[in-house]
Amino acid sequence: MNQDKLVVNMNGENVSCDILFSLVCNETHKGYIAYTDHQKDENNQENLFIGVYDPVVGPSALGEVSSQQEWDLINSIIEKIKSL
Amino acid sequence: MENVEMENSDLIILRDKFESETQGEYMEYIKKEIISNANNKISDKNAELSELKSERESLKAEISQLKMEKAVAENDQLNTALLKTEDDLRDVINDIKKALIDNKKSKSSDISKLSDLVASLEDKVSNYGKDNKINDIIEEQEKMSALLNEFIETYKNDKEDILNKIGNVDRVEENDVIKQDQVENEVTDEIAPVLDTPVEEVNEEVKEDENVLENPENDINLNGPIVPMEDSVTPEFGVNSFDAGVENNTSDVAPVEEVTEEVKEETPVENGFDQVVNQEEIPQAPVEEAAQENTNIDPIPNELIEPLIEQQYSAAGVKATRTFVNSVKDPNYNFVLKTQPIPVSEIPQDLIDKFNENITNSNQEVATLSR
Repeated sequence: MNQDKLVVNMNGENVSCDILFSLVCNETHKGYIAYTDHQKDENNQENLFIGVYDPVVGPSALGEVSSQQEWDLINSIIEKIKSL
Repeated sequence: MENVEMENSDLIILRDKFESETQGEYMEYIKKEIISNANNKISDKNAELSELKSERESLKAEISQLKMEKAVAENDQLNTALLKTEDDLRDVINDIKKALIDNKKSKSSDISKLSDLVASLEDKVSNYGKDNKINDIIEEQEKMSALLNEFIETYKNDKEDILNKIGNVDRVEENDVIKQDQVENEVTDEIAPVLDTPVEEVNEEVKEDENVLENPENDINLNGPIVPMEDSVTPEFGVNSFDAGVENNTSDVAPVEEVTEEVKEETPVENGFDQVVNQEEIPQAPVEEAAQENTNIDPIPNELIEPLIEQQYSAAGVKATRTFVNSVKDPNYNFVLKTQPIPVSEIPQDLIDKFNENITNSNQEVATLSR
């Protein structure tokens, strides 16, 4: 799955990130893509970035998660993945 | 006479005096009258002017009111038209989204059918030594080839449909279009011989073999002893090699195990279906590994036959990597969710193309990355 990577400019530096999962929600009509730079914060937690895009137009720009409903959706997806 | 003259003179004086006084008073009177009349007229005119001013203000207010009402009516009308236009546009966008999602679902269904056919074909190949159902294998292979062809055509048409429906062709750089076309052409050129040529060749060879088998003079012992697969032959994904082995045995009647031994020695025909696949590897990714052995063919995506790394839910089509699935199941794995927008220019187009191609070929309700 080497092609599941993104090169992201973070703080002026190009960082190769692994795409972890993606989904299209029929309710919000939005696409969500999760990726990580494998960096950890002070609590030893790995960064897991979520970008939002229009599934029709594509990721002409990745937006931010804007509502609690979307966070709930993403968390529920992660929980379901855990239970696989 | 003197008295008379004197009286006349006095009279004249008196007259003059009287006239002078009378004229002065009269003039004063006249002046007052004139001034009075003039003041009255001025007052009347002022009153009339005030009335006109009042009337003008009233008309102004009325005009303003009418203008306001007209503006409100026009605004309402405009708002109604805009709302209708917005609703229409939203309907169109939703229709497009629904059509695209339906299209992806349909494609996923096709891929599932393809996977089923692959599994069925693998099963028949693994059981070949037991029942010799060559025609069944050929039939399954033809079905799979037809479905693959249909899938490739659908995939190509989808790209064009999406660009046409969205109308964002101007957003796609010329180089990107060429790149996508090149990729599609390369995939088509490389897969087409895999899909088309072998089936015809196999059909021809099978017909010849059937003729040999049906000829009593050849008297091939189809009821010979059945040996365990591991002792007889490494199962092959496809029938060309086996058929070639049968063809070499038309002169001598030979047990099945001998025929299959010769099959092992045959050089596989160069196509994706005729590559030798170890039976132990079939459960993992037989089609892809078979394709990988042929350096001229791109491997068929793992997702075609290995739906293990994706999961589909009713409300969302989810694609997760195996690495992530394993990570989140690890109790020692901690992560923190963040949101961070990224300009598209920082996502390389070739990565988007690859990711898009990879996902499009998956058997999931698809998450699509495309420009």
